[in-house]
Amino acid sequence: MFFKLLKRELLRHWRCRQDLINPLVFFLITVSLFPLAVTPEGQMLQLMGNGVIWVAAMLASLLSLDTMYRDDYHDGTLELLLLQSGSPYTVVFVKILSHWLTTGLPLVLVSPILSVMMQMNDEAIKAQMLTLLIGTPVLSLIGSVGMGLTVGLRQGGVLLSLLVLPLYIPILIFGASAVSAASMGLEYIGQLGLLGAFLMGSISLVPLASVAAIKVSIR
Amino acid sequence: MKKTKNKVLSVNSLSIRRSERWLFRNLNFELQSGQIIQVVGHNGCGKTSLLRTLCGLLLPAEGDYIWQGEDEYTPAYPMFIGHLTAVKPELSVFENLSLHPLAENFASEEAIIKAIAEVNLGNYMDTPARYLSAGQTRRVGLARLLLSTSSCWVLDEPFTALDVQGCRWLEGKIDEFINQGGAVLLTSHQPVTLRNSLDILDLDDLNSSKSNKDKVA
Repeated sequence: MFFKLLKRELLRHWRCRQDLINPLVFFLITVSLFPLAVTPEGQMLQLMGNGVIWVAAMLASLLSLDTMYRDDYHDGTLELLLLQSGSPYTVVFVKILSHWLTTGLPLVLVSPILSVMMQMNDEAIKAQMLTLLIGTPVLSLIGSVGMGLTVGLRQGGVLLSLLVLPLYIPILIFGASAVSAASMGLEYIGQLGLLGAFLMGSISLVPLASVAAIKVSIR
Repeated sequence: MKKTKNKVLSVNSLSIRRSERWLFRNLNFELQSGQIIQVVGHNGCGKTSLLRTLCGLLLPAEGDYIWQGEDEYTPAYPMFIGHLTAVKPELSVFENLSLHPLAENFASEEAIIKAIAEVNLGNYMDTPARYLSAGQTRRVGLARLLLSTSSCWVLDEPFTALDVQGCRWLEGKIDEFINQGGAVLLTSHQPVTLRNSLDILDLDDLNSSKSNKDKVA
């Protein structure tokens, strides 16, 4: 069940590749505009680089949430999946996992290139990748609850941001602070640990909340 | 061929409300294996809401309904086909059927190929569903009926967008399913011609028997 559903989701994403590339291009462009707009000076870039990359990753993830449930809701697949699969939690979990695999993971993989562009040092680049690796799944997980709640609305975009962004803030704070600690040569294991706790907490609670949210939307 | 009549679904004083408006109140009926019930009524009287409630997609305001499974431990999954076809435009016809769960299961490859041939889409096996016409998309959705192992079909306007032959074919399929001991609950605005007898559940009758005082202003 799990793998068939996952195959289905990944195949779907693969067939509409522009949706897949969209958040990645957004991420690349936003970050690479900063040196042009502010200053190409190394010290300045180093100072703000980690924050800029984290904010851009967060917004790119927010931008791509729409692909998670919207289409399935409109062609009636979502209700049938919840009805017929036997376990709605598996369905939701697979959706979140495939969303992360198609948007979060690419962001993690390209982030070192941008970190180099922002003139960050080796330790900071490593920390950037690690925090994004732990942080982006949390973004997908929390986003799925917000998306589940707003999927039935015709114009849910603003509401989605209002619902989801406040919950993204802690991830942003700890993610960016870990990177700046690393760039100064300090320990950042504490922030990573907190991000990990966020991840574990949301993995265990989000499927429950998402299923409940989608059921509200379908009714 | 199973000849024993057993209850598939019993509905007890069911009432459905959409926000402030009661669609109907106090609906009682039973569906037995080998029985077809056609729900009729004017637009907006709650046919779709009734079917969606019985499938668990909406909550009833009052009353309850019970699906009888094989035994008390196995849940009964009615096979629901709604207004929306649940066919993904990006996936091919074959993938649409093979990667879609039906009652906690996935159909076997041979069964799917057979089902696709039967709905006359044999030449479109690997065509992405977005190239299909409305009627062909509907056929992909209906092919799921052939793959399902459920003992009850719940069909909401299944004849929409089908051509004359398609309608005849579906009617034939319903007859066949009934003869095998299945039960069908359907809504349709066009007359359905079946070999088996058809029971009509008229939601308008239910509504006209009560006055408008139930409506909250």
